Amino acid sequence: MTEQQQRALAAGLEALAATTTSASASARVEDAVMAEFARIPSPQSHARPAASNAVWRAIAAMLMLACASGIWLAQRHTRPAAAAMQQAGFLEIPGTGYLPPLESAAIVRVSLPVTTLPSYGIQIAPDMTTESVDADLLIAQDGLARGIRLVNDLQRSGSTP
Amino acid sequence: MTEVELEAAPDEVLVARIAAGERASLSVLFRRRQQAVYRFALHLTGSPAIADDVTQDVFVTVIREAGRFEAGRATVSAWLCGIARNFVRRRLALEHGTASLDDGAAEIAALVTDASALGDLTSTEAIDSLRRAVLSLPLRYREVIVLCDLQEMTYAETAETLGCPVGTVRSRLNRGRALLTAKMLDAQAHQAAISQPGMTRCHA
Repeated sequence: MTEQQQRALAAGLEALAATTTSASASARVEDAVMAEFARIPSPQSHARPAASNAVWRAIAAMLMLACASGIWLAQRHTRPAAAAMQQAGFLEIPGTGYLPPLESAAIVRVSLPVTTLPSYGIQIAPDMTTESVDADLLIAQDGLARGIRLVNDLQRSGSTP
Repeated sequence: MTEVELEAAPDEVLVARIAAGERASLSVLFRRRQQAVYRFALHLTGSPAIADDVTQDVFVTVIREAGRFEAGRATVSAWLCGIARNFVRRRLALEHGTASLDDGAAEIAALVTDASALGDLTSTEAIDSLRRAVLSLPLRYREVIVLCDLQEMTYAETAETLGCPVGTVRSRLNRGRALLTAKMLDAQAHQAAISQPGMTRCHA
């Protein structure tokens, strides 16, 4: 870019910014936000002391472990391949239940935009800042992915399966 | 805290008080920051309706997640825009598919090398054309152009918002501006071609 181009672009962007200086959300937005605030019954539910948070996290983790163990044990008898998949840390991709049973598989490492994770059954926190994440996909004998396993520290930064 | 004191309180204090369940602090923070969030979403999507929805989603998230905000890690502005950015990306992914979010690789290969003078971009028509050009940028470049050039955020704040290093912000900004220049040169050349006397359109 030449200096003249840079100056012209800067002036244009400044003019573009000026067209929205008075733009703001409509009145219904503030009403909706304040209504949402009122909808939550106890103010204390907004704030939990750090110690209490830790306790709740521990309880949630124990419940998740118990659920995961239960699911694993239940599926172990009916779907050995799926159980083995979960044992290897893979989550079953939603909507793959109707596909033929897993006979053989290959693991392929890919980089996925974080925005695609919900389609794999992995929720992301609204304030998450990571853009992409490395994941292992379990590709079955028919070439279709059956499972996904995150390979970085995404879970610590806000995703939940 | 009185109303006057609340109005003067830093954003971080307001967020802490929202986490403690104080409605008045939410009201003050909303009035102070909603415009920046709305404009950010508007520039990224070009849709006032989506910008409204995103602004609402952001502040509802603030109600629920205020207790998780860490004052030392980022400014409240950057936190809010970071949340807005994620909601915008979800909306755009839903409406256009994920493939269109970051498909700028081919365009980057054809970055401007044309040294032609860029005409005046401050006329009403040119601003409209520039707005369309910004909206057509791949999202990763659009975000930095909007934050740095349209909302005058610092590189550091932009980096906090996007969760990337400052160096990445600088390089994306350079590429985004180069892409914008190329698009505007194209638009101006096209406009000049169709406005030349004696030219006729082919309706074959």
